[in-house]
Amino acid sequence: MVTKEEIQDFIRAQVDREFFDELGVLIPQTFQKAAKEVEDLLIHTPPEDLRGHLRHSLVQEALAGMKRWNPIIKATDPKGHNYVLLELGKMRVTAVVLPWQKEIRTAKHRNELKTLNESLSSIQMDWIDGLKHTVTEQLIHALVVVHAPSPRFADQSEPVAIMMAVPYFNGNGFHMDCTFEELLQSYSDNQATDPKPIELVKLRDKMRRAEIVEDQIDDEQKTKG
Amino acid sequence: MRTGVAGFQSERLKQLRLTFGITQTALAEMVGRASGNISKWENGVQVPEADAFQRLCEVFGVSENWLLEEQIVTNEDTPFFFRSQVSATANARELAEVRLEWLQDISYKLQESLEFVAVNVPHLEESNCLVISDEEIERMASECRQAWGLGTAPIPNVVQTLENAGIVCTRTTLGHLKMDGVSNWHELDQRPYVLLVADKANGIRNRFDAAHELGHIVLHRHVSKEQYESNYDLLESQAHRFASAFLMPAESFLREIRWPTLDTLLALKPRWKVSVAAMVRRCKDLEIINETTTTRLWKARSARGWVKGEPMDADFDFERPQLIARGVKMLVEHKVLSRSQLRQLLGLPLPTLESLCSLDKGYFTLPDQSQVIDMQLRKRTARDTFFSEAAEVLGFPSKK
Repeated sequence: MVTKEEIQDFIRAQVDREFFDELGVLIPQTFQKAAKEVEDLLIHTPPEDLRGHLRHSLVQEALAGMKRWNPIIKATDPKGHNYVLLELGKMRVTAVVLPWQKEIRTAKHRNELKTLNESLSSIQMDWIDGLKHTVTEQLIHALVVVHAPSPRFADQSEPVAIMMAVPYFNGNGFHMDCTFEELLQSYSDNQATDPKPIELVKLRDKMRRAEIVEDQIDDEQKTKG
Repeated sequence: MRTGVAGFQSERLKQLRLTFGITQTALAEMVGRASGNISKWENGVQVPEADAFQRLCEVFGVSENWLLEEQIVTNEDTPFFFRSQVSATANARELAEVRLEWLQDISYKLQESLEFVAVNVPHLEESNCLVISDEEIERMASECRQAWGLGTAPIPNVVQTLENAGIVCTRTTLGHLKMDGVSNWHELDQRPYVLLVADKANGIRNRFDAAHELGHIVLHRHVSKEQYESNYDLLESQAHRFASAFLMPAESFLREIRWPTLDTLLALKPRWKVSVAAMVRRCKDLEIINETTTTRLWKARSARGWVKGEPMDADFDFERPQLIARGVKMLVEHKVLSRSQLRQLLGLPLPTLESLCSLDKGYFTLPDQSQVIDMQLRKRTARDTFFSEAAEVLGFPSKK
């Protein structure tokens, strides 16, 4: 079993705290801009649709503007959209805006996740389907998940939460998810101790094993059911 | 009967003592008198005897006439605007005020022989600071830029800009860390004066200090002393707003800020030559970012440890005032006054004088160029040359 701490340790070793600080300031601004633009543009029609598009585009735009971290703009597969990929140490980071109430679930809820993955696949093809790619590149993928508030919610200018998640290599679940605050807190907590972080290869193998075990448990439950 | 040196300026003695940071007792010991005497001299109850007076001049390194000449008093009492932290002591303010008065004194004396740049500073006629709105401050800032032909680009050198507009500036150390600057409209020559304190500041901060003082000069020309005392915080915030509007005009600055984060703002620092903190503040003033984002930016800033000092702070040179220095040098070079005459005229203690004039240390102690009388060798006539030179005798080739 891979613990949350292990993955967080690994992230801390690869990514500078300032990166998350920047993101924490940037992402809410994309929501503010999207809300304001939609308010200015639309008078007669409901704003949700355009706001959703704008949020996605602006989050990618903001990430692409983080020049200090060398962003790469990639086309999705199937084509039609773009997303931004950041390579930080041995990690790849992408970001996605998740519709309200679609939470990241553990492997137990894989069936529900399947539909979620499908809904995301059009814009986040690579991190879900491009699994072989990820493994050969020896990188661990981290996903910044921005939770948008419910459309009925009065304040649309702030995301409900910004999460950090590490998906399975086969894209069917998540090893770890935590809020940004939690992650930043772990940076300050571990400033003094600085434990030796786990090696990439070891962590990856551990993660793979955990995935297989999860799969087996899942299969057993299915046959029982 | 009162004895002693007539016309002794008690006020100047006190100013000197405070500047040197010595107590009455210590001074008494240096001069060889009782501390009670010093107190009486300072209060004008008594004047020192000739030998004590001499001793005072020696201790402080001032010229005799400086301690004797009457200070110029104007009818109108204009307030001195301080940029300082709340905890700055009254002593620090008094010191800064005295320095600025000395600068005015120097400038006044130099103007007897020099024509300074005409004052061209747009200013508000408003005497009630409570009615000055943010829009008005923004308007005045852009009016200044327009009057000085600055466009909307970043300002390369703020101090020079001020001097070109006829404002007399100086940068000096005070020995107080909590003081940043002081400014005043001098009624006598209708000219604004700015003193920037160089104790802790870096180049970037000094620029902002200068712009802040300009804010007081432009906005608070007609604000009375009473108003200044009762509305200190308001006046400071108005000068701040002016400084950021002057350094970062809305129209051009906004275009360059797409996503205000610490990294993007830091990237703009070398171009605009303002601190990230000032830029965050400006973004908030211009409503590009809301309250929550501002808080996030401040938090991230302190998490990076930038409260103590931002990156690149040390990369910017101090902007050095040049007007007074150039004036002094001009007088010396054109032989209107020699260095020693100037020193005698301006009278102040040497280190203070040199720093107020922004001159290099030891400028006044350099020897005046001695009068070299032109001497030339007398030219000889062609005839003299012809006869005096020994002719070369050519030998006949010997026959073989």
